[in-house]
Amino acid sequence: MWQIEPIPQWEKDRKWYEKNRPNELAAVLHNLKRYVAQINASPNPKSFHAGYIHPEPHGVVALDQKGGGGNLQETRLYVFPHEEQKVLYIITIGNKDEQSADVQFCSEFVESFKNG
Amino acid sequence: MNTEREKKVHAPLTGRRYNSVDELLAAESVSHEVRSAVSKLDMETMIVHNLIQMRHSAGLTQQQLAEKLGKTQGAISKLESSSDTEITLDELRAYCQATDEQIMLCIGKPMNHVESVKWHASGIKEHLSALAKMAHGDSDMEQAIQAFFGEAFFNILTILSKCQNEMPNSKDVQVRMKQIGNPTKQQQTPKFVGNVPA
Repeated sequence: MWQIEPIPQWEKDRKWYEKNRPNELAAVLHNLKRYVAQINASPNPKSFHAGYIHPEPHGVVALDQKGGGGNLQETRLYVFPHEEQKVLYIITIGNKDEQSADVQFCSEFVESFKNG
Repeated sequence: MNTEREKKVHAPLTGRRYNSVDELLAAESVSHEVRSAVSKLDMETMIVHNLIQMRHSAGLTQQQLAEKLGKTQGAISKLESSSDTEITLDELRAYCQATDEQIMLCIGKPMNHVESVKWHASGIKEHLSALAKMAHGDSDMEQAIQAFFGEAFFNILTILSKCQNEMPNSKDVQVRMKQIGNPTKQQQTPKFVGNVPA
């Protein structure tokens, strides 16, 4: 059974999205639930695919807002499934314009994390 | 409203871990509005969620299921990412066949407890009646079904008596069964099979 740990940046993002983009936040959280159900049932978190799942560098996974209804801004929730710890780190949320900076932020998180 | 976002910075880990997303949403005080919206989306993908669970229970990866159904993994991935309104009956049937599972779909207003008991009772009657028909012309089958009828009868009475005992001011109801065997065959020594525990 995987555990879920939000990092401090996610808390800030979540509060911002709650206030400004609640529907986008709900959509990515719904996809987070679907993703967690899949990794809990599957021996390998990389063995399944879905339209809302996007692999990013350094093992980071971006979950988008698909399935949350129309007229939603493109949004991505970035997570890192740490396979040895069986912990899914929730890193940050961002929109399409912030994607490049967010991926960089996530890569730095994973790298610093791996380096202890 | 200030919609500007602050620059993202790295900070020490929170160390707060949760066993599920629902637990996280509750503990991290995510707003009721967002949690309700998430629940609504969950309801819209309940059937798809069950299909995914069926695949996992059958020990199949998306690729293996795709091969069984003569589809591509992409098609399975697309189906498992969709919402319930996009699923066809053909796809439900295909998942059932490939996973050797069965599903029941109940659409509409949920039954209340009384309606539900009546519905199940009707189902029990239908199946017992079908078993009784199977007993004709085959003495081994007749004996097995007769034994099963006795077991079913005892179990149903036991359930009823237990529920009766949960009622306020109920008098203790006990179910006792005496095995008398088949009167057309050699009489066996009668014995009590059991009492319902209080």
